[in-house]
Amino acid sequence: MKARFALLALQRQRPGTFALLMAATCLLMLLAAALALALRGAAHEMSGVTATRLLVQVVDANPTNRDATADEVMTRLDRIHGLGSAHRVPMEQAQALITPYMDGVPTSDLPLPALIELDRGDRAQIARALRDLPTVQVTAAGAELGPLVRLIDALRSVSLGIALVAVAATGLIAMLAARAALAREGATLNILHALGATDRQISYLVTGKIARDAGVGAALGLVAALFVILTIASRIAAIGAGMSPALGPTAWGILLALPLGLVGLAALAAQAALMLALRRAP
Amino acid sequence: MAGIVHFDNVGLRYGTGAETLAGLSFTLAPGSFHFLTGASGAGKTSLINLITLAQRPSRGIVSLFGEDTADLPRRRLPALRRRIGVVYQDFRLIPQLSVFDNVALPLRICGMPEREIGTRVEELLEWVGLAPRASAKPATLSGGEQQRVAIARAVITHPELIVADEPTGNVDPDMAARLLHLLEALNRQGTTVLIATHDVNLLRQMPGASIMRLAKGRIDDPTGAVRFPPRESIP
Repeated sequence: MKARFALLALQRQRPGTFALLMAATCLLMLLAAALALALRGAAHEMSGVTATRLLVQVVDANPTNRDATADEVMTRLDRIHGLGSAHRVPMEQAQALITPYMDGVPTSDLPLPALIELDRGDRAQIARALRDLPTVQVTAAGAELGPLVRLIDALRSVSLGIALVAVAATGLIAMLAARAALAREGATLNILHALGATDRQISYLVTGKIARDAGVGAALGLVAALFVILTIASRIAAIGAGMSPALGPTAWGILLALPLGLVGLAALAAQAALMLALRRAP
Repeated sequence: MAGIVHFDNVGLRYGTGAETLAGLSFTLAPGSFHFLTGASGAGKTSLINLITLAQRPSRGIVSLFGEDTADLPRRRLPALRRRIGVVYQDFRLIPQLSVFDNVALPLRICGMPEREIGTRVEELLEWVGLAPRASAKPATLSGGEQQRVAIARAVITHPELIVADEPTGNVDPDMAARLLHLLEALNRQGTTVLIATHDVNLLRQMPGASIMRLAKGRIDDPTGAVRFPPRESIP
């Protein structure tokens, strides 16, 4: 049965409340998904840092002793097998990092520690190798960043939860729309049944309309979500300090594909609801 | 039980009330022509609903085309319904479709190609005198014209069984005769016809047709032996 003409009155109606609800759930889902994806990138990057990175500090007020100890540390680190690259942070770089907070006080006067960064290494092993150097401290980067990583993970879980709630709401809305359409078009659908139309033929008529309305709603939601995401990304980029937009090409691909998935889900949910309801007909 | 329609001790009850139809047993042989008469409320429409699978019986066996409908899985019902053409008393046309599309609907449901549909529908509309109104919507038609559209829709697929509920109730005697001739022609080609009617003239125009009279949910003459009853005996 080709639906090249409007067999049901609802097929000729413009997208209405259902499309607006779809737009709202799509917007909510995309924003939550974008946040989850961005946080996933940040958490991944940060957990990579915290899992393996070590920082060796030489805390000595005497610059000569401090530099001599730092040289000794570098020598000992060279002898340890399985260690990643060791990088001694130039003193100028350390001073530049704290300059903005010194309110004009020259940082060259401060007894800053010598800093040595290690990409990869066993903290206990390194601490053992340096234990006779009292001014040396070995810390894991994760020691400071751990709570932040856990907070990011929690926020990511919340975002994913919101996205899933939006997806579930879409399915329920589509089912309710399908049932409403069935009730509204009951007389016509009874005639189609009497003429020998199958449940599937009848349900496709309603599902087709719901899928089209869902498509309109999803498109509206996508446009609104893109506007919000791009606005926030530009604000983050404007902050600088290494806070570049965290959504890569894969994340953008996922975000653009999600509305299509949502339309598919709405159509499937509507189809399932219709088939169940039609099964109760004589 | 080699009938197109076979009822065996069939009863129909709505809710917990008394039976609307009770103990119906009859057979409609292939290629036969039957009238169904009875006073208003006698159960004619309920009986038609059982034959057209719009309702299931509360008890007894309803067989269509040799198959017990109680045992049929739901997915097989559409195929049975496509073998039955139904003319409803209230026409049941789809208001947003044109006359052409209403008549073409059963063919589209069966999946017939559009080019074949066009020829077939145009021929039939010509025959029932509605070709000039092919693009009109049902709401703009008179009762008689809507009746003719309903009849055209029922016979367009050349069904094996045609069930008509007061098919000539809204047409003039001339058109009633033409419609009856159409049904008669289809019957001569082997189609079984069952017409529920109060129209005595219609009964007189079909000598040889059997008459089933329904009274209080029961058939007075299940054998169909009552033929050409005198005018006053027909409710």
